[in-house]
Amino acid sequence: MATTTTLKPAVSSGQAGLSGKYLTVVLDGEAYGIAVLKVREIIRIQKITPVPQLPEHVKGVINLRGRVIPVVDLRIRFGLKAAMTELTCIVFVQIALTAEHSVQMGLVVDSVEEVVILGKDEIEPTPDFGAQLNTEYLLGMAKVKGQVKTLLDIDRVVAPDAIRAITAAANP
Amino acid sequence: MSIPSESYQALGDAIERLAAESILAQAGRDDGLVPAYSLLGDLRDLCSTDAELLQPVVALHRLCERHLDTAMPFDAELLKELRRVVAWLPGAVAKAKEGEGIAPPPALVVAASPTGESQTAAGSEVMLNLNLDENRELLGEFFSEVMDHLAQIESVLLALELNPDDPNSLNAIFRSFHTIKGNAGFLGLKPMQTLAHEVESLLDLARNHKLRLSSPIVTEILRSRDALLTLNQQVGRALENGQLPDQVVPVGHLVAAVKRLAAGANEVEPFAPAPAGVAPAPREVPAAPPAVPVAAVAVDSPGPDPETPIATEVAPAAVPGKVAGGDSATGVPAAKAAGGATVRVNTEKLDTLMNVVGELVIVQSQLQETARATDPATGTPLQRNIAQLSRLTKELQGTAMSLRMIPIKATFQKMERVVRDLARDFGKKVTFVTSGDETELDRTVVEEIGDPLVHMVRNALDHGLEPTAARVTAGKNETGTLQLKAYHQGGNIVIELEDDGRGMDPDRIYKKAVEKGLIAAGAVLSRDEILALILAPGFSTAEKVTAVSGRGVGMDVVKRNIEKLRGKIEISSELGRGSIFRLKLPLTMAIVDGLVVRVGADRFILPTMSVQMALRPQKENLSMVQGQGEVLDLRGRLLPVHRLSRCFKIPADAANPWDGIIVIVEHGGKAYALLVDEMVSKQEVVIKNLGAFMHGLPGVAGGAILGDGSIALIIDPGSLLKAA
Repeated sequence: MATTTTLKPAVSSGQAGLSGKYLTVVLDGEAYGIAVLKVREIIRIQKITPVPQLPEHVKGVINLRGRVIPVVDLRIRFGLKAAMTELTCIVFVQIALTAEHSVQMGLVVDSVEEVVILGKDEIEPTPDFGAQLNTEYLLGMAKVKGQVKTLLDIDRVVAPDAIRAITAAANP
Repeated sequence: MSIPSESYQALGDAIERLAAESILAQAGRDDGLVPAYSLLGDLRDLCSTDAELLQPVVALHRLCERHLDTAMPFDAELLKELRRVVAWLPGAVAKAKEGEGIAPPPALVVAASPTGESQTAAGSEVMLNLNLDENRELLGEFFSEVMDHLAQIESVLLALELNPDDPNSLNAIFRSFHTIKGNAGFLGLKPMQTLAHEVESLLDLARNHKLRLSSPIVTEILRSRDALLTLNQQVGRALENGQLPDQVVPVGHLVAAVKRLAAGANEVEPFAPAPAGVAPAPREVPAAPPAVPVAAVAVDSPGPDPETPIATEVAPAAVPGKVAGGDSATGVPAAKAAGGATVRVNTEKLDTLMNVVGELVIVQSQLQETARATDPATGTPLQRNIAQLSRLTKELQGTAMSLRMIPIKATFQKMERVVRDLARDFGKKVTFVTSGDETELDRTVVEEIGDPLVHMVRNALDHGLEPTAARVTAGKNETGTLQLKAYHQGGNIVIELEDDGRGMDPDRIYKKAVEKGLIAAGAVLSRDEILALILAPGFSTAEKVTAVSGRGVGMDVVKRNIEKLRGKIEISSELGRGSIFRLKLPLTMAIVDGLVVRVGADRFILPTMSVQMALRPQKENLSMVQGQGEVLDLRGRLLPVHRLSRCFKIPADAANPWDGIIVIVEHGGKAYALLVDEMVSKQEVVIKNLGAFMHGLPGVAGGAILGDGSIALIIDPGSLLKAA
């Protein structure tokens, strides 16, 4: 049986190396940035096979040229209402589970905008929103052409809690 | 005659320091000569009251003196002398303390010893020094090559035990040790080199008809092989995760033992064919290299010293060891060099190839469907080409699959070794017969099957086969027979372990299971179901807990491992006649033969291995229990009905069971009815891992890509009910 295919090691997302290229995506009118080096490819939305007993935001699995890859709906993940449009697409990213283990995963987003280059001084640390907002998976905020974009730490957006949920499902 | 008891402490210290000097001393250098000289002087003074101890010490002391007088460094002769005395002293002193007679140092024997090099036991007790950065690639090759050789050595040795004079086997094993020695020397792996060298020397004697490989000698060579394996595993670990060897694998005692065997052969052989007891292999020699030179006794005294504790300890053990597998019926083929040229390929590359081929097969079937839809006429060029393509992909898939298949032979050989060692430990006589060891299995299966098999073999030897006396009373041949077979049956591989022991008593198992609370008292079970109880966790009928079996943790682990491989265990047993354990395993781990079913909009795959039948149920065969649990009456058998839609909480078309299809699923000896909407097809699918991310979801064994490119989940019948 094929195990997770090994790809080039994912780039580390330390605070120091935040500057670089980001792919910006839109979710309910808000712009988010995903480090370009993490992105493998982008496809238009297609049929997703649901997998039972997973948390709601894990939509299921998809056949990406013969590979079975889990897909997460970022809208649901961030507590927004699920909505599919013509522009909805799936961004495939490489997620580091542990230091040497990484998997590919698809993220459902409303649309993909552009790739921007962010310098060190354009990125600011995430402000403290208090208890109302979980900021542990945010890398920082960036202001591009007057618009605020939230930079996502993609390794932490889905992996840890999804794994927790799955482990919980496996050992009730 | 005797030494004052208070001197022993000082004597021991001096001997230890002398031993240290002897290790550091090198031929051609004079470092350590002066300290050795003065230590010997101390020893001389301490031993002055014991003539037998004194004499060799004085002789060595004089030799050192001569070297010092002429300003000569250590030479090979002095080193040999020094080390011989160092090896002999501790034992001799211990005996002097006990007031026993002391054998002189093995001067005569060593003089005739074939080992011309000055490598000694003490010199080999060092850590493996790998130089990982410099030699990484060489070490990688070395590691796998040694692994191959060690596997071959083991099988050839077991064959040699039956037929000690087979020149082909002797040459093969000699060459293996020779290669290991050469490569280890090249890479500077001292302990491996030394040990392999000594065994090689011993085998050289056997090759030249100066020595006959008796059972104790084979045991000793096997032990040396195991030590080499441990050392090689250190190399492997270092290569894999950079963990450098942190433990000294003691080989000194083995080197010494092998040397002694070789030396013993030289002396004893001219008089008589070596009886098993003359050159006894120490059973458990402490890691300290100076071992009592037992073989030397034979030179001066008329026979082996009956007081030598080691000799008496070994003699009884050697007898059953010789009997284990000591029957000509044993199906040990003389190991030959594998025919045909081979290429070593990294398994990662193989897996990638498998993945790509799997994808190709999917694309091909998609293409075929598209072509049929756009150009339905047969015989057109497009259809012809597509047909050709599908034929080629099939062939490619078959070939790629076969790359992963390896014969189960190596595993069977391991079992042979296990049987041999265990038979000796249990003091039982066993003939071990294997057949079908050329049968090929998926690499993963072969790797995973080893541990369960070891456990089953242990069980068969411990619980299955009666002690010799009981066998004779029962009117059976006192030598038990254990058969291990592998063969194809349908789309599966069957591995069968059969013993002709006492068999299993269903009544006793039943009683025990009730006692242990595994089943309710009065439960009605079929014979097979009762036998299957021994696979339950916490079950063990053996009254006596031994080191290897009887704790009741084994068989359920075996069962779990087999089920992980998508196989199953079948047991049949006849009281007083023996038991048969059958492991049914899939041919490959990459493909599963499945039944595609539909529930609502989704399709699922049930492994055919666990499907008994599928039927459209009649309304009158279904009844309700307590208003919700549904039960199917299948020709008098009552089966619980589970709806797949409810297990997975998905919508279904069939509101009533009689609108859908019921699939009878069997798992772990229990059957249940699974309600689905429709049967779609039966097909082989390539199993796709859902990734670490979704690993271990209850009820889901993986995913598969169907012909139209969509994904269907493969259902795991074992854990499905947990999901509900």
